[in-house]
Amino acid sequence: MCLAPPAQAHRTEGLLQASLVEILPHQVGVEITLIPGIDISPQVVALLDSDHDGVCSAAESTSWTASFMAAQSVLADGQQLPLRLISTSASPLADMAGGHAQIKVHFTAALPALMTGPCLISCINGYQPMPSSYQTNGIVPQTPGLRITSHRQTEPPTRLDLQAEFPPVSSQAPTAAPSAMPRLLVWTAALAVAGCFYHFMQQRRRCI
Amino acid sequence: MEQFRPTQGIRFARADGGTVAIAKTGTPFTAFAAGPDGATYSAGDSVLTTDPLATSVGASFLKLAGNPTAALIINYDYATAAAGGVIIDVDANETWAIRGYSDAGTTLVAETVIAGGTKGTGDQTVTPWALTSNTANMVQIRIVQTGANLNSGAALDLFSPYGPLDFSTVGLSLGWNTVNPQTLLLGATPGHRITLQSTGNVSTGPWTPNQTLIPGVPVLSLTDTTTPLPARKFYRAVGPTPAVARSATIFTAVSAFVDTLTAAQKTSIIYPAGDTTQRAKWSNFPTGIYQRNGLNIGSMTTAQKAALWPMLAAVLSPEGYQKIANIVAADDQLGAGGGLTFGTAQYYVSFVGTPSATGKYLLQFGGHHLAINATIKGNLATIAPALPGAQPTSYTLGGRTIRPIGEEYDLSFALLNSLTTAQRSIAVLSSSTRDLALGPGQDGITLLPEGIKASDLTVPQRAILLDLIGKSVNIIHDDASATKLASIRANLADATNATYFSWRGPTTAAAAAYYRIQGPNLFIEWAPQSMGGSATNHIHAMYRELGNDYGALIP
Repeated sequence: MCLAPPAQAHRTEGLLQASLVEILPHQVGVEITLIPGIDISPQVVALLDSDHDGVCSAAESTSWTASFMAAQSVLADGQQLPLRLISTSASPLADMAGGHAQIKVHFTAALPALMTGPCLISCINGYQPMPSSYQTNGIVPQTPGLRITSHRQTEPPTRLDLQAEFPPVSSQAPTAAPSAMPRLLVWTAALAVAGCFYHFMQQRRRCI
Repeated sequence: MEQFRPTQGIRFARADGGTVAIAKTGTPFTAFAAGPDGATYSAGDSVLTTDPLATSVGASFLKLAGNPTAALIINYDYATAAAGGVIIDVDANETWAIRGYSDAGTTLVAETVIAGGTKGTGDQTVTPWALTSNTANMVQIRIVQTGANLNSGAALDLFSPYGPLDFSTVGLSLGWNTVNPQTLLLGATPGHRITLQSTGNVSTGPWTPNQTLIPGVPVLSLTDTTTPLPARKFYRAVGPTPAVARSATIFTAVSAFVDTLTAAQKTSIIYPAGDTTQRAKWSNFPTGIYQRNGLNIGSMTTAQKAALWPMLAAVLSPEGYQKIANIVAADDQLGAGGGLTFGTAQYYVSFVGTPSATGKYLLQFGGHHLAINATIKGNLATIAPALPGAQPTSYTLGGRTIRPIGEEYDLSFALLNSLTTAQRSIAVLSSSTRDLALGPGQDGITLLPEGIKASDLTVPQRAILLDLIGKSVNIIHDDASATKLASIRANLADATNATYFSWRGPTTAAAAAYYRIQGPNLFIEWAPQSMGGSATNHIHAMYRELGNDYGALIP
């Protein structure tokens, strides 16, 4: 006999932080989706609405994004790469308590010019303001000649190491290679600065 | 190319002792590219692209000089009663004699002559030939040019030791994969029915049907998994014949449903072809969190409901139909609350593209824990991306225990438990489980594969893996799934274009763990959801065909 399960269709525990990492000839693209469970949603709301006025202001969103980005690292053969925030978006604060809201952060790390041959790319997500579960996945490069020869995650998977093999410079296309994360390109066009986060916090977005 | 290898039971030679030359095609189908014998040919000597048989011709041809002393000799390892092939581009001043012998060119038992023609009737076209004898006594065929133009040449292809090829409708070819000799390459026009047969004796047969399939792509890899393989085994592909029965059944059932819609409903639930926003509008979430487009069952008339399920039954396999029905019924077990609405009434149907007998369109059906995106074109179909999850995963209905996706769970543990310690060390990647990596909204992404390669599994382990994959692939109707499974089966032994199996989470019995299966054109995920109680009672699952989601490869 099966008892009717509780009428829930949402995350209940912890903060899920799911990363997708894509290597392009000139940069590393990282998209991190954060989905707060019901149990920690008050803490997430408190982080986003530090003055507790029920609104995530532009200053608050900028502050949170800065703290999040400060916990991110991308290394190329052990050398820290400069990060560039591309976009941030989020569900309305009111949805955070429901366990089906999400925050998405997209940033890139610029690779040294004329990358060629093997290079170990490491992506580290050190953001842990509350109990979190992490998952990290690399994307198969679409750039001809650019290969990932091996990849490894730590446990818990806050770090993803990708052993990349860049093609000879002479064979690299002069224009940017297509990204497997086309929606990120859309966001890039729509959002250039973290301050835009505020506007997204005011809009109800489709949850996926 | 493979038919020209001696391992195929056919050996080629020239009467003058010269080397038989092979030419590769140009674009389009240039039969007479300069070959290794240094001959030069007219740039105009190409196969007409309007020739319906042009697509039958492979990428390589045998070349034959027109001098009678350079006759092509085809020796068969086994005597045959029938043989066939094609000659490409027989010019007006050429006459080609094809003669079958019961010995080394002395005793003639069959002959046919192909006279040259004008452009389109021999010249620049593909001309089939066939020889038949009263008994299986032909061991050699000689092809020789006897016309006036002694400087002519010919290209020859598609040799068949078993009889004339069926060129009545579309092309068909069968060869060996050079990388994996156990893998057959079947070339045929997509959407037509092919029967693959095998025998141990090419002369006497009998030919045993191995499988019937309807290719969705022009070239398929097929692997014979019989163990042990006999020392000699011959294969042939028979057909192709248009497989109209399934497409007619589907279109009749879809039309019956569409005909129940009002004009306003048709406008609101049939989206324009190419509407990429609507095609991606599906979710694991229930109504209240996620609002789908389309017509939900709760809003349907009695006639519409009566037509809905037969439509799904026509598109899906019996196994797939039952799975979907059980997933929907599981949602009836959930109690409403928190602004969320569960149950059969909250499952929606919509179309992207207008359903037609021959055109391509998308049938969407989904609700909580279910998304079916069935791209249909005639007999060709895929349901990817599909989300066949369930909550609860076990319930009682009419005195029976229903487990909508229970077989997947059982097979995954059967595979895990079959792994050796060394295999587990590769396949089991972490003790913590995962959420879906390529769930809703994550179309068009190919992840780096992880886990153990299927090629590193034993044959029995691969059989379990194939069964597990089949639980997703077989949701679509049998004609479509058979072809997909044949391709997947072929890939399992391939270490280069590998299929991977990975596991994340506990490995103890009845545990809630994540697994992923990823192949060259396959992606399956299974992700238990922790929401109080056992996470095994709430599963999100994904089935994708990498590169073919929403039927991208269906022409």
